[in-house]
Amino acid sequence: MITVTRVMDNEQVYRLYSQELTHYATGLVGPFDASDVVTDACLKVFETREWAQVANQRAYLYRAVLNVARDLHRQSLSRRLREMRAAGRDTTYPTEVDVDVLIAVDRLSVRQRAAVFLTYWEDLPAEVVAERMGVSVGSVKRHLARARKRLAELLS
Amino acid sequence: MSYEKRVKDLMGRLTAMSPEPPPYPEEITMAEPTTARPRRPILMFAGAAVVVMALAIPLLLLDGDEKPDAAATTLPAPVSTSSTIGETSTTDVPDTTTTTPVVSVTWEGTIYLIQTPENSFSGDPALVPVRVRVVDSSGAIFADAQFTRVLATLDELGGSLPATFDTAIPDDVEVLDLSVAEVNGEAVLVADMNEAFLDGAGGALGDFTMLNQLIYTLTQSDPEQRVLFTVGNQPVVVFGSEGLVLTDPVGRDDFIHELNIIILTQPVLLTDESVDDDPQGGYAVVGRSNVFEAAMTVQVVNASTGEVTYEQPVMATSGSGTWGDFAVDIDAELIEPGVSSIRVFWYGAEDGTPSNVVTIPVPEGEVWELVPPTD
Repeated sequence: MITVTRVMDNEQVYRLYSQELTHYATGLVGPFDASDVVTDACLKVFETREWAQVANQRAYLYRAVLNVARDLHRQSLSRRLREMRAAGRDTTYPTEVDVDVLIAVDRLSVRQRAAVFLTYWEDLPAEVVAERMGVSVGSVKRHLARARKRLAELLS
Repeated sequence: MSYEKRVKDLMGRLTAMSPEPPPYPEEITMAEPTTARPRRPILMFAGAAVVVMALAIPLLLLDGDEKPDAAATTLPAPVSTSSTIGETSTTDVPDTTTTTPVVSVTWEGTIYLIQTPENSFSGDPALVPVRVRVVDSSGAIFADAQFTRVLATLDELGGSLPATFDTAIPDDVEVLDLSVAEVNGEAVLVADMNEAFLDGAGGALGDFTMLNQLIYTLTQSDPEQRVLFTVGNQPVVVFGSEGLVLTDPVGRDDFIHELNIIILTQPVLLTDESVDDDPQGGYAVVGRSNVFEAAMTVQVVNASTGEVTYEQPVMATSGSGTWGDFAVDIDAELIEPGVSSIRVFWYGAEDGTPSNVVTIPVPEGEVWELVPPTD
């Protein structure tokens, strides 16, 4: 029987993928909660029994981040934006926070954000996007089509 | 600015806000190995039988003076989740003549075979992924019913696989172990091969074809992943008749130019989800091509009469010197499994004849059933 032998330990895996997972999480929930999402996802993954036998660790971690992003703070970005608006126009934000971008992304569901991020930012083919999202290729295309519709007015 | 560029710009601005990765969460408590996972009682006896009967396999794969690595000698579990390629399962087969239960072992997975395309100037083989199921209900247990054995012993297997499908992998080549390792900051799949691998398949084209078959089959769950081939856990310095150096990881693109300019990358399977802009699902034909103007044609043909029952133009994402991806759905009503074949080709620029034609018969039940030798 061919079996995947785990050569890298969890810390090595984490070191290898944490940067891109954080970027991905930022695309899903914004910069405020991205670190928490990555930490929660990795904690959950590393503690599961199935982890030792996962063949495609990268895709598995991406799916975990997406699941945590969907479960945790579903309305997080909207809530943050409401708080920012309530704070008033004169409030200054850290320069790295681009409110316009967050407002645009807030129009999308978390899955639509995932499909858009992986397709247009990471330039992955639909098959790989589907693998990392844990959905079918057709679902990826549907999420992209709906995201396109929601973003069309903003980006036109 | 196109929509794609605007979205990419949006994602770029979003990613620019990304914080530093959080530190490694030290408080992780590791789970017990999966062998402790409870299994359903009905499978326990069959599982024990399979494990006991398969215990000899890794010992045969290792040199006599080597002690097997504990992690690398994981044996086939009754309901295996550990194999990276395909799925193995066992079921009890009622046997009224004896008190000993007969165990049927089934392996199902995707393997990448080759086909000689019609009307090809170069004669390079086309890659054709097929979903196969190997069922051994004899009780002898076809323990090697996994992808390398299926690829290498195709000639010995009975069943319904079309004669136009072939393999370049010699029957003595085996993958002894698969692992994932970090190589230069990249997680690569390490395939430790037996020494027969070093001889290649005989001839440069055979060597490249063999590598393509192995790479595509090994990376079916992650097409972006690359593979490092080793023999005796050492990188392969000289491979095949041309002395190819394989000391670095290789991926799906590295030897693609040694293939037909139209290949399929996924088995033709029925799906209720769309793979192209047409919202309706159907039989998904997915592949890569490098044809003039990226323009191809997909036909449905009655295999017995040769009648073309459906034809549809398909555009790949690029062509004319660069490889592009293509994906198309064919309405399920247009295909009769067991009778219909799907042809993918391009109309040659010189005389308009179908060129580099790849023909995929559609099996009944979507899976090709293979039967292991009885001896």
